[in-house]
Amino acid sequence: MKILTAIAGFLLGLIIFMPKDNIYFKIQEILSKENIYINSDIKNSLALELKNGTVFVNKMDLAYFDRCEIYPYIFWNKIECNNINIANQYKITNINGSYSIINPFKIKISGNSNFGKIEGEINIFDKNGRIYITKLTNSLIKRYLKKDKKGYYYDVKF
Amino acid sequence: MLNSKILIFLLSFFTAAFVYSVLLFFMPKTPVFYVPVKKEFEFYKINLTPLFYRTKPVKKPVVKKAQTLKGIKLKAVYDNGKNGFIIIEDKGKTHFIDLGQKYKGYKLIKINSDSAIFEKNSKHFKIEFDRSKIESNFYKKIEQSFPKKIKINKKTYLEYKNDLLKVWENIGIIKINNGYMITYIKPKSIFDKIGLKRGDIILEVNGRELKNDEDAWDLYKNADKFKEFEIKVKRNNKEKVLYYEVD
Repeated sequence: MKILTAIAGFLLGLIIFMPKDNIYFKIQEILSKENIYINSDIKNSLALELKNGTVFVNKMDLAYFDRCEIYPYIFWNKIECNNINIANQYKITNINGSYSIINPFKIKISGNSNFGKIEGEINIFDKNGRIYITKLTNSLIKRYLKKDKKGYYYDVKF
Repeated sequence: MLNSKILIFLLSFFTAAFVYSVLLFFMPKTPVFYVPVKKEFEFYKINLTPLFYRTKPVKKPVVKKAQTLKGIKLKAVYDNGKNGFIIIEDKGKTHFIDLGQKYKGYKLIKINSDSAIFEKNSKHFKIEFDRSKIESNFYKKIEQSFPKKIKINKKTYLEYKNDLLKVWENIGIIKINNGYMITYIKPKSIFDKIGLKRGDIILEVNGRELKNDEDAWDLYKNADKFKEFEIKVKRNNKEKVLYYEVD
């Protein structure tokens, strides 16, 4: 019982005292080595909130977002972004990525965009994933996608 | 018993804080930002052609100050301020007339750079060079010296500008050392129609070198600011400038 109390106290402390902004700065540092930069306003509360962000890839401002909220709760983590504008042409109204300790290797993704509905999973163990784009509204995007019974999809590898 | 549990809980709770404080030594304290270098396109297209010719001849109001001499053509003038003479053609014959000299009763009283004034019975008579022939040949030569612009329909242009995927569907470009090489052009596409060719290396657009992706992206973003484009390409190891006008 004492051990359980100790674990509970430690985990709660981990969640509450987590230096979210410093972890985010570390992520920024790692991404900058790949020439990816995220410029945004930061607000740290129970969730880490990024506002008015610009994503630079190879010094090109390829994407903008209004708001991204990161909930790093160790057992259950979530990132929620709104109004992402890619290359001034493709708009993602909202997109969520969630990760749970129950399924430790998978990140579930869902969202809505002006080119279709986004749904998929990323396997962090196998370093791959499949993102389905259903209700596709942009036919030009099809040539970059594959198709199966569920619909058009994009294979992710990293 | 309860107090000891609370104590254990609090101790574990603050242990987590201690763990983080140790970790913080190894964590960055400030965000990593990218400060984009703002490059302005300093491309000014100044049309100097009106200095050389008029696209539509402007009709000047006719002020009849002097009558003309029918049948007499002015062929040449010479005037050094004090003395001068003109050469005229009358019924196929050429005549030299000095300033102050009379010809068929008409006295040459003034020589201008493009005309000559005669006087008879206190009336002035003017003969001029045949301007139409001179101008048409002159302007034709000037027009030929200006490069030909290829016109691009604005609607088509904006369709491509607003759809990056449509661009990549019709043209393939890769970065090489000194520019961007065209690797593929879809037949009958807009890029084919405007005269770009596979193997062309795009070196400059509107005076700006395309050194990296940032330059190319910046150009693409700002493309709708331009009505005219000058694209310097390297084709068959020769540099060539292609001119386009969005109409």
